[in-house]
Amino acid sequence: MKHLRNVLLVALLLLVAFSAVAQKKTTVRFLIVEADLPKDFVDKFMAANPDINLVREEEDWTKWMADAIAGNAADLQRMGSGTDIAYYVARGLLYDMSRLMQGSKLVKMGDIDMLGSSTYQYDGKNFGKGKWYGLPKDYNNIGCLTYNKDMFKAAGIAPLSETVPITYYDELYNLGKKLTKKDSAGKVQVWGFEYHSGAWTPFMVSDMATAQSLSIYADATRSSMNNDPKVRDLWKYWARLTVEDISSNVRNPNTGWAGSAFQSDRAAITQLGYWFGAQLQTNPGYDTKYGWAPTPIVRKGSPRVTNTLGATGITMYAKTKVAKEAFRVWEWYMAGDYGLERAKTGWGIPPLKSLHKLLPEDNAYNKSRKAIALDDGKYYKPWQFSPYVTWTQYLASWTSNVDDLVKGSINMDQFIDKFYAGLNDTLKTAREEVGD
Amino acid sequence: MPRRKRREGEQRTSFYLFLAPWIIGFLLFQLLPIGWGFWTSLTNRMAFSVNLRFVGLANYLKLVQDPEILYAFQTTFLYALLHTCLAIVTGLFGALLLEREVPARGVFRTILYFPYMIPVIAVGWIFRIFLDRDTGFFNVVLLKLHLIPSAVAWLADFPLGSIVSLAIWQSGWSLIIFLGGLSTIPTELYEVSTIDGANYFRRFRHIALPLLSPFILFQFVSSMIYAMQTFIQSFILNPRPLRGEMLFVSPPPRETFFVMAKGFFEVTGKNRFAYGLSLLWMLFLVVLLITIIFIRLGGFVVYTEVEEKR
Repeated sequence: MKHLRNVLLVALLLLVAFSAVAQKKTTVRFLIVEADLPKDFVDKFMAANPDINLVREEEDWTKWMADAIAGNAADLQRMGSGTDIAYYVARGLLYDMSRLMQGSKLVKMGDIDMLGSSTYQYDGKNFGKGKWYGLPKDYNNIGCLTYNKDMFKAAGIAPLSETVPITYYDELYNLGKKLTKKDSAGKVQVWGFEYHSGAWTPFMVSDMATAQSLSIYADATRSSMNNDPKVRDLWKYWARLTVEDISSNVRNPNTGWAGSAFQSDRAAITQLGYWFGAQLQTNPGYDTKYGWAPTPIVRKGSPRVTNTLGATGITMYAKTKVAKEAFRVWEWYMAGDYGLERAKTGWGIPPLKSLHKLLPEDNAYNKSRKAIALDDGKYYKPWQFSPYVTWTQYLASWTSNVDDLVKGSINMDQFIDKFYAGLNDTLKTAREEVGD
Repeated sequence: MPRRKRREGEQRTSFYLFLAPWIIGFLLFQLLPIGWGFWTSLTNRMAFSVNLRFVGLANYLKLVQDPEILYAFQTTFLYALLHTCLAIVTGLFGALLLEREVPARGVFRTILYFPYMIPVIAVGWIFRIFLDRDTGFFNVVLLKLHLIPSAVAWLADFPLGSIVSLAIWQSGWSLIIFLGGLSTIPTELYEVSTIDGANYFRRFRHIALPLLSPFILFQFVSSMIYAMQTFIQSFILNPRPLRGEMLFVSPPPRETFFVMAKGFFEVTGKNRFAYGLSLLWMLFLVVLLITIIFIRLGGFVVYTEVEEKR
């Protein structure tokens, strides 16, 4: 009996020793949606880098935050909006990648396209300065318009210019109103201008405010919303589109999203950006059916201001224990095989200038959207971010109150008051969080 | 040591060793988080707080002054009451039908119980599709029958009703309990009352209902506890588009933004850990209070054959 026990003990020790030798691989955890990191590319990466075990974790920021509180979050993460860098840096959650990036052989610092990448460089107060926290996987002019030429033709409206932007007030509003179609019961069949469910509204309002030299905040610390009637009116512009059925609302809900409504001919105009052009290519006749126009301006004579939503990118967790290996994955993602492959698909403008030439230009449609994206790029201005909240907080406060406005239980000013009150409360508590 | 004592000692040790996995699990994964949650609710903790400090009952005081929170408690209670009553009525009705000797009774019992076995997330999605304004089967049927002039946005216009309708569909649990309850009623009581000339409704009113009252009370209390903690249905039956991370970013309509969902949203959506957890603790206290009240009130209306010792 005793002999058998000793044999088992030795066997167990050998097994542990063998596993330790066999497990020389370093695991790098990557929080990202599968569409942005397909399995075949993960396999290719691991075949070329046998010392790294790359594990994709399904993108779930609630889980990532919980893991971060426990000090064990995924090593790399897909940051939905670069403007949130400020929020995460203020909480000490992101790795300063400056030194790694400067030593990179694949990503050359001089090759970085600062127009779309500046939000990933942050000095604690301003973007485009200080430490590097990653790069966008690609960026987009999210304010540009995509429209259905057939619907324009049927309504007797001339195609939009590809070089001269229309105005938000008057032109886009009136186009949206004219193109909205309802049935005899008043049910919307086609939304004239279906914007992105309110999700991107803060970015558009910020652009409109910047164009008029206004701030969406009341103070320099960006911790309370600006009650100036001119700024309130910018928010009202977007709420009006919702209330007047030009965009979807609780009365005429869109069970998909702005893009799917547009693709299924339920919206005449949408505002999603260059990347949406790649998605539209699954629709037959896309090259003649859909047109592109630059990001609108506020009013006639207003300066052009555009944004990129801060661009979706890849950052590294501050407490990662495998920074070197995680950076190799990051480099490959940005400028390795996978980076080159992504650039060719036209799902976004690459963060490296040298990759721009790979963007598709095989037909007039792709040439048009690329030209507009690069032209819009000349007018990029940073979003009026607040380091205290992520952009989703604006959405949460907006959607919490907009139904009451549509149903008529509150008026437009009460809506803005409630929207502001929700945000001000969140901004106040978030300031406490970081000890300001 | 005498053999008997040693044996007793071994038995005691093995008893605790067998219990150990559960006790350790309970302490680590239930008691500890519960205690941590309560402690956190007494602080100003956010997700990544820098200046963490003890604030006593400040969060609880803030909660009772927040009209949105009080409204959430109101709607949650209303929902729980509707959910419970509907589940009991439909379950009892189904049980009375299936108690009779009808052909393929077993098949019907299975069919009616089946929806209860489907996970609530799947049921939520089924109802989301079923009640959709443009493509939902419910509108298709009502329009064909000319019962409505045009398609209705059920999820948006009747958010509370949409979620309550799930309760009817999932009344299989109630049905099974009532079937069990009905089987405990002696048939002699029905036979005697029939000979005395009592019709079906009198037999139900004076025999079945009193004898089923303990089952009704049990279901009422347990269903209220369950319904007061309704969570995911609010998000799935949110009339807004559901896209990945947007699921928990877009809050549900006020009418269905129940307390659990609100607590979750405070914690994960706004990172307000302390405030969210104090809300959940308050929910626990409210549920406890409701349970005590209903059990006390139930004592007056529930029929029992056992004399209470005084």
